[in-house]
Amino acid sequence: MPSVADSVADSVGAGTNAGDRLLLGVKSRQSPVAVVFIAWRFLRNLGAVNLGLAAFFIFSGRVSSLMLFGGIGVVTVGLVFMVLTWWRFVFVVEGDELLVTKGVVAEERLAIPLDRIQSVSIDQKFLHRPIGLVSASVDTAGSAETEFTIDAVDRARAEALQRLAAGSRREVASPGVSEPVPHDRGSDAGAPEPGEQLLRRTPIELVRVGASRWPWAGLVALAPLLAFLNEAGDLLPFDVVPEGAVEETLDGVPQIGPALIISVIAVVLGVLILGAILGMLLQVVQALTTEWNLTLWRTSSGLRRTAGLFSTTSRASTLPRIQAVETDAPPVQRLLGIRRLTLPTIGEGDLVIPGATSSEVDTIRSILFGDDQPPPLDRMISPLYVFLAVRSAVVVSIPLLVLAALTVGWWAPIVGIIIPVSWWSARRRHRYRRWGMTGDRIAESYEFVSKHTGEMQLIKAQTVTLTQSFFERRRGLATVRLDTAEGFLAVPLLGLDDARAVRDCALHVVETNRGRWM
Amino acid sequence: MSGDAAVTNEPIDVGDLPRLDETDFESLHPNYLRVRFIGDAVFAAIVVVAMIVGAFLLPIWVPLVIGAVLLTLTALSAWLQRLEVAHIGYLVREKDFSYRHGVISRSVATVPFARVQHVSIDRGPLDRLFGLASLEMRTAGADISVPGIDTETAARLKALVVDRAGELADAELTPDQEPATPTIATPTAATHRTATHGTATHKTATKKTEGADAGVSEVDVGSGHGLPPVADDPAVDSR
Repeated sequence: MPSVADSVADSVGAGTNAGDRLLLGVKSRQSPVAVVFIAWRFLRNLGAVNLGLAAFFIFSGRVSSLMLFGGIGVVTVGLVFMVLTWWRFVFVVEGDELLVTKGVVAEERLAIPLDRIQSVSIDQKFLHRPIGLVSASVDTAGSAETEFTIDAVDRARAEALQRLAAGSRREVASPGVSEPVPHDRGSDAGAPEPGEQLLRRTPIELVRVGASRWPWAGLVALAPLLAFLNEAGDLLPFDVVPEGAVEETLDGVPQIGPALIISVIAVVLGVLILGAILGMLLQVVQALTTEWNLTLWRTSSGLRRTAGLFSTTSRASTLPRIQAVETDAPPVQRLLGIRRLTLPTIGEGDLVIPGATSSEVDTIRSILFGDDQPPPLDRMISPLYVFLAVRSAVVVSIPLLVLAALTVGWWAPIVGIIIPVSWWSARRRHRYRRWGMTGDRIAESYEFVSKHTGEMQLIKAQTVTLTQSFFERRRGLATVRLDTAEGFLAVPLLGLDDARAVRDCALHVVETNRGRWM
Repeated sequence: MSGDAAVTNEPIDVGDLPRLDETDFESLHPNYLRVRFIGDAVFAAIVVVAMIVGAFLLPIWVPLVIGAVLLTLTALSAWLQRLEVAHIGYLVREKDFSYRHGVISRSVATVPFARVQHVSIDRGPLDRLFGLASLEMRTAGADISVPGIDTETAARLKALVVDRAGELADAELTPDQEPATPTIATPTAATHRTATHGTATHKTATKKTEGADAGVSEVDVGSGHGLPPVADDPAVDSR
């Protein structure tokens, strides 16, 4: 960073608009550390598989000198490209616009009016910590994605930009009224624009959250490791499964008897239990690291969420950009009375609050929707849902039955258990599949093992689609789907008249209500 | 959201809402089916040539059987395309655009003009040859692309959508004003139909007299006269 700007940063009074403008009014580059982030993005785009293949070739010695020099050349060119990417990225605030110039080969200039900046998210990743830098992501009203990210910048500049954008939005919202924006340099990446604290997670709550999630998701982290172990097994100089472990008959076909099936079931159960415990531990660790000190703030412009142990993330959204309110609760979380609250948001990621209690959900709902009760979930979908599920189970089980008859003989009919199980589960899912609608909102709820609820304002709908599958058409049913700018809500197997009424009502609201959808 | 207006939650009578009449969709230009058939014809020609070549290299029954199967499948696909194209249609109302498509699974997607972010017209080589264009409407959520509209209608539709989207965006920026009445301040107002289709449009007319902003009536696109004038360059994006 140019030292002039740093001295300006020290000299200006904290939090004054003029100071912020002075600070950002000098053309600046990111910290050279940004090259590391650029390189990281580049590597991530290459993909783990490609990198793994390259590493395999290099370390297995199957690489000729020509390939080696070629590789070194490519890496050098890549490094030069990354440094140039950093060098060419210049940002400055001129007047009421943030001007960004970037691009190595073709120059790209962005001019973003400050009042169009919806949010500036400040993240402090692990690498940022020792050097006291942050990254700033800028979301604008025009695009559904992050406009651009400044990978490594000093906190003063990032917060100055955040304040300028918030100030411009306020001026647009209420011209002439300028409320002082508090400034707290040096605190966590958390609250540059503090507001009312809505909730904060303690470590014990986070342990509860981690331990009550589905443990299997935690195992996903191990999947690449398992795949690697499998590959490594092939390279071992001995067989992992010793010869003779599978008893062979005279004609060389392994004999599958009850003893083998029972032992296989025991092994599978053991692996599942071990996996569940391991997955649970991983989930707890993940919850503690990523959600550490999770705090949700009500700011002047919307909601802000901050969390993280090693890398602190701060994510903010204005209220209109939040498109729906969803909750998901696996069984253990339902027993504990907590659920994951998701606020699908246009821009960089959703606002997710794990471990939310029902009163926390109510608080957030009341911020978004006022004090109105949610639409009553008093409508059901057609009972033909159960028929469809059983029909699918029958279709799937017939080839499976044939396959099983050829391999396990008399044990084959056990496959048929799919049909009553699917009948039972479909009946249960149908019983708990509810939806409801009022003049301005639609809500749904379904559960089988986990419970999901969703609620959206009709005004958020971007398109409304009424679909009839072949089956639905023959039975006078239809599916209605409301797409928002972030996700959708669909209710299947409705009576055609009901579906049309939902469609017409949603269109009526969208076309007559002058409220903002983002 | 909550800050936009005093939140009310009065029950509304769904029966009073304007209905989307699913029987009154505009069909695509007949040339569009020809464009689709050209692809099938090219494939069939390749199959026939391959059969003739195969007859010299393989036992005669091999190319005959494979060719017969492929040609039957092509004919079947052509028949399905005919059904599909016959079912594709679009309906323009004062405040939204609907697109109907699908043979086995059928759907009607509706985009309110107030949600349109971007409108564009695409014309491939075959489209240009047959005077066709496809109209694409993007929202922040799902998108709609209507193929096989004749070029002039597509340009008029695009101009209409841009016009309405702009008007509604302006109205959204000034929420305190009285909502605009459904009368349209474009050349459309002179010719748009208001009371030709059953109950829905009848209700529209009543609501208009009451000054409520709930009216939805259809806009004449069949003749092309009801739409705003063609933009200079249909291929240029609206925004």
